[in-house]
Amino acid sequence: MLYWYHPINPTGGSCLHEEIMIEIQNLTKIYKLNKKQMAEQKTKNALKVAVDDLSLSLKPGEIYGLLGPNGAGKTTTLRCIATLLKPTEGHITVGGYDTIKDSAKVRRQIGFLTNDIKLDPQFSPAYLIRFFGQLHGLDDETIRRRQEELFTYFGIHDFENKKVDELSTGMKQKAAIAVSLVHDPDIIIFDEPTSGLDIITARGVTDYLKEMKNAGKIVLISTHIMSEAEKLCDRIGIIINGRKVCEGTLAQILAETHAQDLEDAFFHLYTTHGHLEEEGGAFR
Amino acid sequence: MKALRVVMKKELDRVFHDKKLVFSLFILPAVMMIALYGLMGMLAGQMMADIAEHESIVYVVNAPSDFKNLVLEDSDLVWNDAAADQVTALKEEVRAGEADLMIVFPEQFSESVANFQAGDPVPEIKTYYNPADDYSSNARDIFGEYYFPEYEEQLLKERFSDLSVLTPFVVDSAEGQEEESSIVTNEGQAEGQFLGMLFPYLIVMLLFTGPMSLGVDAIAGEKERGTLASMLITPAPRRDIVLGKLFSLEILSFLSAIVYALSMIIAIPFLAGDLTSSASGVKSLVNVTSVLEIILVMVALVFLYVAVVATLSVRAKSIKEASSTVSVIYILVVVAGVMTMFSGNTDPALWRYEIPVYGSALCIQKVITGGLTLPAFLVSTLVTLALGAVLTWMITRAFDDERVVMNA
Ligand SMILES: Nc1ncnc2c1ncn2[C@@H]1O[C@H](COP(=O)(O)OP(=O)(O)O)[C@@H](O)[C@H]1O
Ligand SMILES: [Mg+2]
Repeated sequence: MLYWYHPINPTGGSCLHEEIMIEIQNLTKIYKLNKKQMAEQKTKNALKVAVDDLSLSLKPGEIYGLLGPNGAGKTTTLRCIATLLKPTEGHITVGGYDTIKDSAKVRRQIGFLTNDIKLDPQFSPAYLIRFFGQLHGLDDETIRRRQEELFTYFGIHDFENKKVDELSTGMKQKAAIAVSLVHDPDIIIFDEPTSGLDIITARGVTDYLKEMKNAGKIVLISTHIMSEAEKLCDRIGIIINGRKVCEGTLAQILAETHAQDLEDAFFHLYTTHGHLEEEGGAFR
Repeated sequence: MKALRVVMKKELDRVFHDKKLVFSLFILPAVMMIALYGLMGMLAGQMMADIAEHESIVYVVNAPSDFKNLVLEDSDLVWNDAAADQVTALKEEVRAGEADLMIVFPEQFSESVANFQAGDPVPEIKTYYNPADDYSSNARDIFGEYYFPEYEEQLLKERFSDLSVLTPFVVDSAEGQEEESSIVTNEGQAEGQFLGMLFPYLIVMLLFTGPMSLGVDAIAGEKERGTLASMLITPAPRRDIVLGKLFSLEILSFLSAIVYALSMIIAIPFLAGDLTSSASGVKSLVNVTSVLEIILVMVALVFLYVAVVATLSVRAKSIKEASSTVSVIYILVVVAGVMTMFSGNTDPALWRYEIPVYGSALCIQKVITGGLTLPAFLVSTLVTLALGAVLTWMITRAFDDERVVMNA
């Protein structure tokens, strides 16, 4: 197994860009299934191990991709970091704060976006960015400035006063991204950020994430799209059945698995690790 | 606290920035209520006027002349003398609505009355009318309540000259008493009783419709749509998010309740048809204490309703699940309201006021009919508030539970 190599800061000083910003230690998340879920997942086991003993550490200035099939546990992991779920076992710290003990301080630092968290359909992007800015405790001036920056970057001005309900999928996603970044967070966690988007909009999103990385932020995304992981991510962690089975830069992963490309590497890993449980899911 | 205000403002904006929602929540119910009551009042008034205007067509067989004189002296009904062999044909006419009433006196009626001896069979007058026909039953009522008793009295006078022969004793004779005490209801009280019967039921029921339609959507709906989580990933304390939602729901529900109550007060005179008498009935309602009492009861009730709807919505996995459990509660609320309609005039025992919703309905009833006691008011209001507070606390606790807010 490969680990990303990073030199220990020789001076021992606290240069921000060398600090570990997200640290996951042995995260395990077990869901208790109700009868209906058990029927849906065709299992008699009332417990579902969604994430199994997963550890990760992320540094500023990198884009990290969690790559895995549907049901691998990517969203669950990201929700645990975002303090929406409590780890069954293990600890997570974000910028030095524990996600359980200091959850509000953790939330202050992260911009979090997933497909199942949506903007209120009855309000406009302009209303919502203000609303979330206020919930983050920002003053009106800051909110106005951020709104101008983000709406200009993502081209939202044209529809900023339309109800979210009336927007296309792409417009909604742009608005959701802008709103999630209103407080200019140091850590950006996007769950499948390009799913459902057309190529142009998807490209706009990935370009923005690269810009954020260059500005020294941590970017953590999940994806099941091989090409996205290949092109965008500095490091990739492959998860199958809740376990991290491989981690490293693209070159490192290809070297370890003796594969031509990421897809080959993934199938190699999937055949060795994926058979452990049948319900590993598949690419769709 | 700042987050609480921000959330509350958004929830209020959701309604007030939506013209359709404002219309359906506040304007439509008021317009409908007033229109409905107005229509009902107009139709009822028209029917009464129509019946009153109608000249009753009456056939009388073997009519004694003194009876005919007595009736025609004071009425403009269409009197037809008929012969005994017409009875069968006339019955058909009454049934068909061509005649309103047929009265059949026995032959030699006046003679048998005049020569009456103790032990003789009492002569019998027969009437034929159609109870399903308004004109017909109205004609029968006029004779039954007015002309027959008067004719009877006239004949008795002829027989006994002094009618006190027939009066072995009297009870509560009017002499020496205030005249009003013998009048059972005056108009204001009757109005009060009508309102007293209808109002608690309507208020208790209508107050629930606001929380029901808004609360399920604001909580179960936000969970289902995934918009609740978007607030949970901000640093705002979860308690502020919940309370902001609950407060705004309480404000909206209370406003809609006020709209309902006001439109009812405006509408009831239309129903009563007579504006002046109803206005006096409503006036008895409009004194500072009773208005204050009703408002306090309503505020407490809204607080409880919002807490109940929110409790059920927060636990539900979908809007559908929430609406179905909430509608079960709605049925219980309606039952509690209906129960007060049949509680009669007796003073309910104090423990009845401890029953949530039913106790509040009783309070409103007693405010309107007069005679709400302070202990009853306090017991009911405190129980309602306490229950609402416990539920609210449980909801804020539930928001910390990932299985509740994330359906995890
Ligand atoms: N709220 C939940 N309750 C029960 N099981 C869940 C819940 N959310 C996810 N799961 C299960 O946990 C596993 C991981 O899901 P998830 O983290 O969403 O995977 P991914 O995001 O990689 O597709 C899946 O088997 C899924 O069915
Ligand atoms: Mg997912």
